[in-house]
Amino acid sequence: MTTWSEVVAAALVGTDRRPAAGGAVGLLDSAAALGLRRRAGVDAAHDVALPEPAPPDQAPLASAAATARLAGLLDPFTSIDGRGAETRLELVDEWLEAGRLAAGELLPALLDLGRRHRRLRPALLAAGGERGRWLAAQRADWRYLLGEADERELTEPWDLAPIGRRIGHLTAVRRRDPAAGRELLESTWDEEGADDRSALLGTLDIGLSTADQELLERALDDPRREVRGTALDLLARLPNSRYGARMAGRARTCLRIGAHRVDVRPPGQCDLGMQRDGVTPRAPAGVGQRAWWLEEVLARTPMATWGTPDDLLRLPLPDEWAGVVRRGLGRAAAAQGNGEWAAALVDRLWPEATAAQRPDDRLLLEALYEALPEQQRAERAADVLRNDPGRATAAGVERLLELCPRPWPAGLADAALAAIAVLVRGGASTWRLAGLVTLAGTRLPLALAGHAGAAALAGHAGAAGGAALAGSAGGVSTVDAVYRMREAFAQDRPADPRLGTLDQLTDVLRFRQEMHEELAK
Amino acid sequence: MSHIDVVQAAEPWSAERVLALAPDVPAQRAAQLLIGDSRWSDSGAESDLVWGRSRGSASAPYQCIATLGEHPAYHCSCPSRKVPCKHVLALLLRWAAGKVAAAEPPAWVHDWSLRQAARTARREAVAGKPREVNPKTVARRADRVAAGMSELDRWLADQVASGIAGLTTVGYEPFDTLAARLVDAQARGAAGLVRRLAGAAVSGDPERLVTELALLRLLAAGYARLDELPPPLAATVASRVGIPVSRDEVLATPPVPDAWAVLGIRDEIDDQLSSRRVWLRGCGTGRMALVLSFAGPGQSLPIDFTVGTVVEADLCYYPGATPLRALVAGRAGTVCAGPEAPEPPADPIAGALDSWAAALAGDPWLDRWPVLLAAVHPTTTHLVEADGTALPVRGEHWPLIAAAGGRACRVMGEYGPAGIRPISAFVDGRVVEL
Repeated sequence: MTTWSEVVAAALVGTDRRPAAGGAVGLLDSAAALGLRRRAGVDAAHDVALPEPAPPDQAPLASAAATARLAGLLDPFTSIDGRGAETRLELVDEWLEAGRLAAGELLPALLDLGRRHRRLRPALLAAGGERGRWLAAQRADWRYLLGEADERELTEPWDLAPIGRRIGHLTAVRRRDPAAGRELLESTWDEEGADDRSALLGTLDIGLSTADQELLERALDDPRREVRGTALDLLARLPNSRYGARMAGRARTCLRIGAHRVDVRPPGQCDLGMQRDGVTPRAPAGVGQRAWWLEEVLARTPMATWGTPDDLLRLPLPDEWAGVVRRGLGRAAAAQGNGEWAAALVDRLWPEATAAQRPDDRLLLEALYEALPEQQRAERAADVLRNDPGRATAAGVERLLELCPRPWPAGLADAALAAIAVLVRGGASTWRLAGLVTLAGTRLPLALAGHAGAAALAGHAGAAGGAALAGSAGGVSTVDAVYRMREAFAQDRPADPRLGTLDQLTDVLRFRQEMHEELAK
Repeated sequence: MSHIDVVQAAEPWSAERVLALAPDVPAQRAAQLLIGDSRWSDSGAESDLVWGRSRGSASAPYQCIATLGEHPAYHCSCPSRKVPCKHVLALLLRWAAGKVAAAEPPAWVHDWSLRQAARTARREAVAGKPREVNPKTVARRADRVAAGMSELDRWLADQVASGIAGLTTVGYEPFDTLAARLVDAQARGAAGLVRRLAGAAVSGDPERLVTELALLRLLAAGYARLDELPPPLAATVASRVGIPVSRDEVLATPPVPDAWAVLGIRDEIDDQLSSRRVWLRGCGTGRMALVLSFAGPGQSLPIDFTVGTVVEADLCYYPGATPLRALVAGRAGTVCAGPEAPEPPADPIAGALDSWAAALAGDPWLDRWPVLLAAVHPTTTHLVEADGTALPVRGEHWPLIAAAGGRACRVMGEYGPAGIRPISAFVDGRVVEL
């Protein structure tokens, strides 16, 4: 028995059938010598290709402490003590937005997270740096990161590139030269697959102008509903389009603005022309047919048709149509991203939405808030909280708060803390508090500006807390403010379950404060 | 006379030192969230005894006590099985931050510390007693092991006589039976090798199966003539069969003093037994060492090593022809990390493979061997040197790939027949634990 393969073959068959020198034991002894020699004498692989190195990042990595904290946030087995996945995600996002580079070893977990949570992607692109893009290119399920921002020149022909690269390329071209982008899209429009047409058409969003209306009008006759929808949304935002003129003509016959009042005459029918322009003929359940058509027409009419918000809204509307008209105008303002109109309408819709509790109204209100400039959004949310915190939480103020810029501006922060104080003192149920407190934890600024915060708390936190805060000059740390609120409350009601909610808030705030200290190192 | 100067707290620790007590990273994180003043009441400290009550999710606050003396012990009334739990860690973090004032221990703390002292005293009494070794017991044990090993030898010969092709399809059951019999015969090490054999059989790779069978035969043959073997090899064979070596025997070997670089740490946390493996390399001697520690339920793993640091220590190796496992006989302290710390020698791939071959020559039953590679580029399949020489990696290691960014770095890992399993990497002056 001399070679390894002979030994293996003999062992497989058995020495009973293929006798070996020394029998079974002899075979095993030669196998030990030969097998061990093979195991010990293993050679390295040769001529293996080296990986492409990642382009260097100029900025230094985040501090070791900040890196360790992010690693903890990403560890799926870390329980952040009752804090849900949502809070964890917010904290990861906040870390990434701090503008520091994430260490390479954390990027795989971050890319996995970004795959599931789109909103992390812009911050991840920055915090990942060159290393992140280099890594994302190596796995199909991470490549979305390149689709996010890949505006480099295409290496392959325009019509053969993967869709993410094509969208990125078209976006870049549109930004430089809208007409060239449109021509590029038109050059292959008729050959595009149904799935790609809507996504590609969406890039006209950048540099949108009346010159795009020919292509958009063509898309209105597309067999795919998504494509028609994209085209409609874009057309409605063009101030001087043929589409806008058609809708304005329809709308003016519905709303006749007189000197002292508005006359409302809803459409009597929904003809094919209206349907092509996006009016859905069938009213949803519970809505009158003509009222629905009116809302649909108004929702697609350029805001400019009505002059300034005040021109129309100061005039009295017939009671039976007032709600429908406001909703139609509201949808239009939201779709066209018109902040001026959105602001004017939010104030008129909020009482209605909270009173009627219709989910549609809520969604519309959210859409209007989104159309508002950020500063105004925060001011309005603060007003809502100040007026009646109990009703605000019942009416789902949380969704509106989510749309406010993060961290919350000073006025909103004060209003939110005051609302929490009122709710805690007023004995609100912990689950009702939970929504507001969870949002406040990740969105409150870490320092409260000046005396506004102190004053807001002093009113509710009892004499001790108020006095302590009044003594502190300038900014107050939010953690301290909340902690004092808690202490003052604990003196009166030491066994109250709402104390736990306040503790939760302090814990998250302290976590964030430490995180920012580490990120600043 | 005042009592105030009698009650004194010990010098508090740093937060890092407290966190190192944690059984795992999640516990560290969780503890950092519980240090708020609002959660704690009735805390106090007296010398190395620290206590406090923490409000958690239960209605009654948890009672937390820690004593940090020569025999550290922790107590918490929470339901967590981790020791120390997050509440105790948070308490100690507060203590480290100077937020726990010196005080007289209240009754519930006092009672516990009395019980704890009694427990420690009992344990010491047991440990202090020199273990009576009954020569009859030793002889009986040797007989049982010998019987088990010769049964194993016969079983191996039977398999090869009738052909091993059938072994690949029988599943784990016959191997489990054989392993159980070896455990009964007090040959736990051999039983472990039989389980490894089962893995080779199920994998369907005949070459691996033949090798593992032959290695078991080598062990049985070696044990049969243990007395004739040179002492180091005899020690290796005995330990592979599963004859235990006492701590005293290990500490009686000549210690190896060196500056030991901590290359990697791996924990396995289990309900029954937690274990920690710490890989070291002597900066002067270039020797590799593996320090194992275990903790049963309710105990925490010792926390004496941090990856990336260098420790002046005397190590005593377990006797054997390829010494690897070692005990810390004494240590002078941590020579910190950083540019002024000594660097452990690292090898090219060829050198690492030579060390693997040399290790196998002394201990043919090795299935993994620690290596420190000087400059390799990690890819999805290999660790590649600049000239294209490469070792295959076991599994996918994206964090390593991402940390290295396609550039060369130092990688520590365990090499075995299936390739290398990376454990830590040294990139741009940072340690990355994988």
